[in-house]
Amino acid sequence: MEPGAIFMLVVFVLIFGGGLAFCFTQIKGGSKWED
Amino acid sequence: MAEETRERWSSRVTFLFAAIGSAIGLGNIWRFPYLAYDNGGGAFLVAWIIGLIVLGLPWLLMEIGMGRMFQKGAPGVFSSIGKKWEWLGWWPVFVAFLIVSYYAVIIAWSLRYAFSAISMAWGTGKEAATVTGDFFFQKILQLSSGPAELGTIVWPTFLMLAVVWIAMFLIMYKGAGVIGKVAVYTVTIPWIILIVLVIRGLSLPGAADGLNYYLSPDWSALLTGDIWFAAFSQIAFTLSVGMAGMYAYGSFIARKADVSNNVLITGFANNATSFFSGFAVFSTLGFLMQALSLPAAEAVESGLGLAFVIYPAAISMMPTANALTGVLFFLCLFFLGLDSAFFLAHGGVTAPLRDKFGGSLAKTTAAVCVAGFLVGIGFTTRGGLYWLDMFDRAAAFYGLLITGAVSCIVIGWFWEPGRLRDHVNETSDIKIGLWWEWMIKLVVPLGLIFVLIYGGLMHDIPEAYGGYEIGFLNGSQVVWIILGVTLVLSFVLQQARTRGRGGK
Repeated sequence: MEPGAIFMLVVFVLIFGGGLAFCFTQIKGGSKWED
Repeated sequence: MAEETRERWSSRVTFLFAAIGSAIGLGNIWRFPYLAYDNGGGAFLVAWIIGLIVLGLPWLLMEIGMGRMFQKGAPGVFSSIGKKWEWLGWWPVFVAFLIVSYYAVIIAWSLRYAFSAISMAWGTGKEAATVTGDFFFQKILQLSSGPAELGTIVWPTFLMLAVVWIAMFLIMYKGAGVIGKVAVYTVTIPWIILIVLVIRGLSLPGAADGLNYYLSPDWSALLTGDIWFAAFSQIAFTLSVGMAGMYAYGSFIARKADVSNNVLITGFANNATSFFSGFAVFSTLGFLMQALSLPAAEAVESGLGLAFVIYPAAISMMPTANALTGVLFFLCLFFLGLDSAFFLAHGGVTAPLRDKFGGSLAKTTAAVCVAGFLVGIGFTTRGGLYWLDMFDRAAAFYGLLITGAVSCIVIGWFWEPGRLRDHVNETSDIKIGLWWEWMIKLVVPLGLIFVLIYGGLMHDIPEAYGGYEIGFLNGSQVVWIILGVTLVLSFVLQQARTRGRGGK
């Protein structure tokens, strides 16, 4: 693969991995899923 | 109290899977990778992620948040804002109904291909790979000469369509509780299959060349309108917003549960799935280009052409495990489509109808399934593909964009979006700021109007959509008629007496 393609691959793996990891670390116990 | 009988997600996990399942659909596999290739490769990914942040996530948050706040589907939400706006909730209900009517037919084709792949009915080897178009258009669709020649029903597709609607009824008739549990499987199975397909694709010769077409950035593309149209349109169409269903899915969330973090997870999971799908598609296309000595322009397609012509050609050329790869690919399409379809039918149509007219869940679900099946029969005819194309243009393009833009304008300027922000922030893991209100007021509607004009009106006004001629009408006029009829019907439903729980 070309260097530009590898760069974009790494950047977007970090964006999605980091984004989802951030969301999961924000989950708090106060959220009630039953009325 | 009405709230006591509202359907509920059984847990956060089931809601997340249902929302992710609705968002992830056929477009993640057959539209996104092509757009990346056609619009600057890796540079497209930058525009696309910007589109997710400024357009997709704010819009998704609005729909899920409004549904949760008012505990109603789309028409009930807009009726609660003001009775005069109720039609704006019904219009996307018609959009959802029309989309699911033809979407179920595409799922039926996928199912036919999954069975055909067991025996590799379209053949193996170089000769077969060059005629997969004939297999799709002549054998599977038995395509007629044009939309004016509807022709007979293609019975194998009719049969599979019946199977799809029966499956959807069984999943939907008990409501969100069962839908959420089924979605765990209909999302996980295609994810597992995609992993297998990526590994399979990367093991083929030429895969790296294909990935270069997918990911190598051409930064100059960012200065063109095409890339922003492609990125914003993909975001608008991929998250299942603008189809009424997300209001209802939000309304099934308990009053003290999180909204904003789930929206973020749904958006990121959807786009991550698209990104990952690109590896399955382009590694395989790289192999096909090498095997048939094809230039990229001839090997890379989007939509039906990619799924039912190009990918089967690549499967024909694979040295081993052709049938297994084919079955897995089409089962992946089947499952990806299925949870989007039951989202459209249940959240987009059944829930709003029950809010308005009452009635049991099972009976309303059955009525929606029968109606969707009956309309879908038209798309199983030999001329059905042409009509599917025009209905897709009317509903999934114009209907979605217009209702989405107007909804944001009404909520942003004629209501108080700050109330929704406060409501969401009360119970959510992640607090949203004032910026979100301006996204809804300005950025999202302007983004959608840009897509509407740049990718739609600029083409369909001067030229007939698809070049279709049906008697004295052309393709564009049919599209306007479909839109007009659904708009009128939306006002008719606004006038109907509310017998369910959807009124003010």
